[in-house]
Amino acid sequence: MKRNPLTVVWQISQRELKSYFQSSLAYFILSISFSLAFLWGYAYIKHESTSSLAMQRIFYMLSGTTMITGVLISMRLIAEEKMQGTIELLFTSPITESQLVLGKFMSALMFLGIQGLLTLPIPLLVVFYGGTNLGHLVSGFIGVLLIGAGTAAMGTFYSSLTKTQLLAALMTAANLVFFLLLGFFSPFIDQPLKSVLRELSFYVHFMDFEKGVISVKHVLFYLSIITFYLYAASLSLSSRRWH
Amino acid sequence: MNLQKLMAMARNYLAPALLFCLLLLYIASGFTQKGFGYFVAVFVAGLVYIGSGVALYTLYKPAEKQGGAFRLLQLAYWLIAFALFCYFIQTDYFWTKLAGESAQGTAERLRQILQIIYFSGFALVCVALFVAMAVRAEAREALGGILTLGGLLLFLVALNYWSHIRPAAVDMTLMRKFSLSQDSRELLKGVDSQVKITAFYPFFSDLYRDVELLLRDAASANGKISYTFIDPLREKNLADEKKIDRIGTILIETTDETETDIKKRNKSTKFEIVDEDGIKRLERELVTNILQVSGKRRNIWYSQGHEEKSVSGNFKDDTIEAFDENLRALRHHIKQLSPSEGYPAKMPQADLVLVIGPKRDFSAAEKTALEKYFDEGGKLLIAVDPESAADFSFLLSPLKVKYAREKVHSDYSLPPGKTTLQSANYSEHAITAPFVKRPEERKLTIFPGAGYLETSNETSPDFDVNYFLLSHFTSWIDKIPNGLRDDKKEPIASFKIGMAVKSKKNSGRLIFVGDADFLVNKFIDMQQNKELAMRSIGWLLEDEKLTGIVSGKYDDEKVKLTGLKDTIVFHLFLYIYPGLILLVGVLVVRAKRRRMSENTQR
Repeated sequence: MKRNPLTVVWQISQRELKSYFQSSLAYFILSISFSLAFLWGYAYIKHESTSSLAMQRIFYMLSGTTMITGVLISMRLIAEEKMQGTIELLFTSPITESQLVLGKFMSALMFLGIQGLLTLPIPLLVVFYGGTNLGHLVSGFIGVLLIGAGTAAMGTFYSSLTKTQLLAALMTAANLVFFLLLGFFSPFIDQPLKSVLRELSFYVHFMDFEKGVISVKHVLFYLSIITFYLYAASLSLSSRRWH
Repeated sequence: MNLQKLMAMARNYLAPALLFCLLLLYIASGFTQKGFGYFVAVFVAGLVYIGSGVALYTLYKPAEKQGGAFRLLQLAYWLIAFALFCYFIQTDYFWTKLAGESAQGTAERLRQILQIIYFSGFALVCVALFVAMAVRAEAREALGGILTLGGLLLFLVALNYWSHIRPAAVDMTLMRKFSLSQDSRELLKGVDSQVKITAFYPFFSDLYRDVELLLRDAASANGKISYTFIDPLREKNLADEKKIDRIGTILIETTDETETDIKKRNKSTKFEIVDEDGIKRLERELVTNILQVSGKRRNIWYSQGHEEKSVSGNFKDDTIEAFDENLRALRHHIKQLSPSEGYPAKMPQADLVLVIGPKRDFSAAEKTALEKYFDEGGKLLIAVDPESAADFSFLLSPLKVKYAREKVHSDYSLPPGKTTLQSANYSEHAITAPFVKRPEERKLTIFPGAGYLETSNETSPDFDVNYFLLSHFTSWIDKIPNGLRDDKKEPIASFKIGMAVKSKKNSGRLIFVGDADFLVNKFIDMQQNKELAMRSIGWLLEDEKLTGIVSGKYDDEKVKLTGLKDTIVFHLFLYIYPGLILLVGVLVVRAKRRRMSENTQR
C-alpha cells in the first residue's frame, strides 16, 4: 500500500533528528554555539547605547552562528548515506527523491529551530531589562530561522552531490560566502548590476528582520532559495537514473 | 484522443493551470485602473480557477485522493481562494466602510497582516504547486528536469521581483518605529504627481537601513513615490549631478505637469538626517517635504495698511521676515495686500489672510469684508497686541469671547514677574499635539506682552472654539499697576491667550492670538515659536494630518542589567546553562550506549 508522502517526509525527519540527538556532537554544537553567542550578546547588552540596537546586534550575531550550524548540520544529510552505501537501500524502499530530500531538510530545520529556542534567553534579556517588545524578538527569530533554513537547503544540495561530508561543507560555505559577499561588493559596482547583486545577498535580506520588520520580500527570498536548492537536490538524486 | 487520455492530460496540467491562474491574478492586481484589461484578466483567471476546481474534484479516484499530489493541489486550490479573500478585505475600501475615515492603529495593523497573508498565501501556493510538479518531474529524463529547474528559477525571480516592486511589511518594533503613521500614509496617498526621492548615504552607514525602511513605507503608500540611494563617497559623479556633497541628504524631486513655465516645472527640496536622533523626525520631514513639492499652491495674503508687522523694515527685530521666509518655503503664493491694491475687495481670492500686529483700527467696510470672508468659509490668522487700537469684537462677539487689553504677567516669565510670558500650557488640539506629548517635557513658547481672552458661560452653537494657548498657571493681571503681585487682589491663574475656531457651517477657520510679537524676528526663533506658527498655518490650511505628525514618537533606552542580576545572568548563561545542555547530552549518549551493550549481551 502506498503511504502518504507527507507521512514519509515526517518519518524521515524524525529518524534523522533522533540520530542527531543520540550523538554527543549535537549537544556539543548547541552548548558551544550558545556560549559563544552569549559572550557576544552580553557585550552588546552592556555596550550598545539603546536596547533596540543591542537586540539588532544580537540577531546579527545569531544569524552568523545559525549559518555555521546550518553548514555543519547539513553536510552529513545525504553525503553520509552515500558514504555508508545506505542511500541505495533507501531507494529500494518506496521513498521518492523529493521525500528523502524534504525529510532530511526538515530534520536540519528542526535542529536549527531547537538551537534558536535555546538561544532565546539572550534576546529575552533585552526584552526584560531593556524595554524592547516581543515583536522585535519574534521578527529576529523568524529571520534567524529563515537564514538558517536557507543555509540548510544549500547544504542539503551540496550534500547530495558528493560522498565526502567535508567537501559538502566546504562547497556550502563557499556558496554561502559568495552570497554574503555579493551584498558587500555591490556598492562598488555600477547600476543596474549593483541592485541585482544586492538583492541576491543573503545578509541584506536579513537586515530588516534584525531591526524588527518582517517584510514579505525578504521572506519570499529565503523561501525561494530553499525551494530552488531543495528542488536541485531532488533533481541531483534522481539524476542517477538518467542513463 | 479518447476520454481517458484527455482526463490524464487534464490531471497532468492541473498544477500549471493553477499557476497560470495565479499569474493572471497577479497581473490583474497590478492594474491601477479597473479597465478592460483588468476585467479580461480576472475573467480568464476565474474561468481557469473554476475549471481547475471541477477537474480536481472529478478526475481523481477516491483512492488517489489519499495521495500527496492531490492533497498538495487541493491545498493550493483553497489557499488561492483564501489569499484572494484576504486581498479583498485588506483594501482601503473595506476598512473605510468598517472603521470610517479614522481607520487607524489596530485596524491598520490588521490590514497589513491580511496583506501579508495574501502574499504569503500565494507564495505557499507556488511552493505547493511546484512540489506537486516536482514529484512528476523525477520520472522524466534529464532535459525535462533541467527545464523544470530553469522554469522554477524564472518563476522565483519573477516572484521576488514582484514582491520588490510591491513591498509589504509588518513593523514589529515598539511604537512602529520604522513605519509611517496612518495620517502620513493618508497624506501621501493624496499625492498625484511623480515624486522621486534620492537619499545620499554610504551603503555601510548605520542610517542607510533605517532611512530605507521608512522610504519603502512611503513608496508602498503611493505608487507614484519612488526612491533610490546614492553613495556620495563611491558615486561621486551621480552626487555631483544632483549637486549634493553631504552624506545624509535626502533630495525630493517632482515635475509639475500643470506648470506652463518649463523652468518652474521641475521642483525639488532637500533635508538632512545625519544621526539616530534625526530618524525620529524623518517621518515628519519626509511627508512635509513631499507635500511641499507636490502639493497645491495656495494664496496667502498679509493684510497691510493698518501699521501691521511688516516683512521688511528698519528695525529688523520687529519685522516678520523670518516668519515670511518659512512661509515661502512652503511654496505657496504669498503677497502683501494693502487697501490701495484692492484690499479687502480681493480677499475672497485668498486661501488664508494673515493680520499680524495691526496698530490702527480697520474701517467699517474692511470689517464687513473680513466678517463676510470668515462667514463664507475663509481662513484668518489674527495676532494683536493689547495696546493696539484695532478692534476685532465684530469677529469675537459672535463667538461669545472678548479680548481683554490688559497684559498678563507671570512668575514663570523672563524675567519673573514680567510680561514676556513663557507659555507651558496648551489644550489638546491638532496644533499643539506635539507640545502636550509629555507634561514633563512640554515645549515652551514665548509671548511678549500678551493680552488675554475673556469668555462667558455662553458658547456659540455655530463654532468649535478651542483655547489652545494658555499662560502658565502662575500668571496674574497687574490690576494695581506696580509690576508686583498682590496676593489678594491679583490672584494667580492660567489665562487664555490664544484660540482656534472652526466653523460648523462651512470651512471657516480662525486663529486669534492676544500677541503679535511672538511672530517677529526677535522671538520667532526662541523656544518653539516657529513650530507653533507653522503648525497654526498648517491647521488653517486644513493640513491637520500634517500638523498631527509628531516627530520622535518613540524612546529607546539602554539595557539596565546591573549589580547582582548582572552577575547571576553572566554566570548562569556562560557556564551553567551550556553545561546543562552538555550534561543532558552525556546522559542521553550514556543511556544509549548502555542500551546497546545490554542488547549485545543478550
